[in-house]
Amino acid sequence: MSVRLRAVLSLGILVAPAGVGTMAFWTDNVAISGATYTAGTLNLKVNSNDAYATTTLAMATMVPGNTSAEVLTVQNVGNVPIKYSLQGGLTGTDAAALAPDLTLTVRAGGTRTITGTGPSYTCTGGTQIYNAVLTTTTTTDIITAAAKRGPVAATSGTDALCFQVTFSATAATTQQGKTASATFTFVGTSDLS
Amino acid sequence: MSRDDSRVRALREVLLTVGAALGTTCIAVALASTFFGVTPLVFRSGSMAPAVQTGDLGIAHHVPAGELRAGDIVSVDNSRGVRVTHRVVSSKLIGNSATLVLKGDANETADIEPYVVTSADRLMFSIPKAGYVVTFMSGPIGIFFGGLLVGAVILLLLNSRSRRNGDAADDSTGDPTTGARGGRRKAPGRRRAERTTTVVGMAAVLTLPLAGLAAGPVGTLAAWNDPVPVTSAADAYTVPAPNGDTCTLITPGTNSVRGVKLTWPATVAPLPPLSYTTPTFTNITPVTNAVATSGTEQVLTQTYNPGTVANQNKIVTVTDRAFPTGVAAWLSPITSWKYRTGGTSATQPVCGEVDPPTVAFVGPDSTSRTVAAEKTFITSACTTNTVIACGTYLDANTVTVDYTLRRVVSGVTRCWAGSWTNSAVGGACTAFQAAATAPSGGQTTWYETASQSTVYAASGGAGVYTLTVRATDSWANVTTQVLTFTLT
Repeated sequence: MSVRLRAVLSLGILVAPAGVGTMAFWTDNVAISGATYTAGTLNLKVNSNDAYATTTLAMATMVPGNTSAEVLTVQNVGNVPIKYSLQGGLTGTDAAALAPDLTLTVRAGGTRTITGTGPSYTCTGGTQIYNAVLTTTTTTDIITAAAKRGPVAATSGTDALCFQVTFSATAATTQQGKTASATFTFVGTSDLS
Repeated sequence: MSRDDSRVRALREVLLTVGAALGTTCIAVALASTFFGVTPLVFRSGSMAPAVQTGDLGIAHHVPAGELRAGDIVSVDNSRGVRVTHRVVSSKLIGNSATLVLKGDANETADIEPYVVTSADRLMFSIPKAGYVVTFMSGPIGIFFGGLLVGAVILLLLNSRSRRNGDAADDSTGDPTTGARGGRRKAPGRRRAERTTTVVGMAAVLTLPLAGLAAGPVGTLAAWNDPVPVTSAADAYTVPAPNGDTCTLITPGTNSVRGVKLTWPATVAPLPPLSYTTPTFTNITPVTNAVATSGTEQVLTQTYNPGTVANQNKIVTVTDRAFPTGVAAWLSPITSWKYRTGGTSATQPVCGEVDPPTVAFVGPDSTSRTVAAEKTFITSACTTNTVIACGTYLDANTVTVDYTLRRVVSGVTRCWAGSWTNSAVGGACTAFQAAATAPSGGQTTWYETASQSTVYAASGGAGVYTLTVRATDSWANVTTQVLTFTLT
């Protein structure tokens, strides 16, 4: 065969790798549902729990103007770096009634501070990354997937977020006795990019 | 011709031949991918170990859902768009779509979500470690060498073409490194052209790898998620009414100031601190009227001047309610107390009660009967046989019971007033006091004596009757009960 023909044919090597970006031939395979990984384990915890029902942030007898706060520490105990997004909302019997009067504030790196004379904890310091009224949709983005926080380093990395819930000072008297539960979901994603 | 020259040529021959073979294979794979649904897969995790290890390159074939069987290793996209390659545990075919339950060989449990697919990539075989090579080749470095290769080939082609232009002799035997044979004989114009193409080729060699780096795919690797839910209650407080009916007299009191203290427990942290509205009152003009905290108690103090005639012998109703301190709109339910002022300036007030009496009917009851049956029923149900109605009442204090009895017969409304009269204008009948037996077992019977045959007439007595009973205790607490019954 001529030099030129062989040279041109050798360019064929480029065809297969060139397909990666455009044809998505090369795909990933991930193990799920408590899988045993050989490549790594993905394990996110919040305040050392895989599911955390907090009483610190909770308000059992809230009256208008009350606030509560808690520092939630996101911990990466797996052996791969993690980025995470956060969703949350209000559920329960009176979620729809209470939601307009409950505001969530999240401060990255903030600290829990008591203010005034009543049991009114707030978050101070750090950087405010969210401040909005809660919704009744628990998939409402607080930290969007497009703006994940992290990466949190493998094995022992942490990221502290101070959560503050404020019950509106102008909440109507008809809110008395209403109950709801705020649910936040930290979604850890392995940061392999 | 030197020995070095022949070595270089032999090396070039080998490289060209191997390159051509690899290139042809790659083209074949690409064509197979496009036309026969063959897909290469790089395994990035070990969930299928030991059958397929991390870094292996799998070759999968696209097949319709109906051909999938338990035990096949298939590659599908999950709901998040992440490709998962696991073994089929079960496949349930409905129409042309199958619901697959998949499980990684190394996983303890099957995947949480079932996959609904009309087709899937079924693994045919896998090549150990080849995935690493492919990934490397797909990366920036691979792209760089690819660009280098393209540039080198272009240079080679341009070189051989320019030499062919300059020398009609067999180019395969010419020396590309020096152009030894043809170089000297080249015309100046041709030499310039050759130089130009060489420069272009060199530029291509340098720029193509860089272009490849810039355009190279960014390796965004898929990942699995680990969600951690955090829940926190948000329960609004129900503001409690002042709790307790503790009423004490202010002792000893004077002829110009007497009064009562109403107390209840103060709120205890962590419950929200409470404040209280200014108490309301009836029938008197108070001297003091305020709520204050005293230790663990809240104390409502109300005093009046007993020498003022308008303040004497009055039942006073006091009410108050709580609200969270600072939130005046959040009022609790109302709590009431009662006390009676003395008849003279020297008489202490008396604490009262706010609970109304309870009242019930015994006979008649709400059952419809004939006139005769109703009379028999009342006679047996009421211990005093001559009554037209009876029932019970209960209260801590003295009670008076009165009643009205109304009937509608043939569309005519009348009231009982010793006889059936027309006085039922607007439906309101005159009330008569009922008699009462002596208390027995904490319960007292009220009754009304009259001729059963007159009240419930055998002729013209069929109709709808309404018996209203009102019990009033000595603290003016009232309970009213209404009974409607039909006679036929």
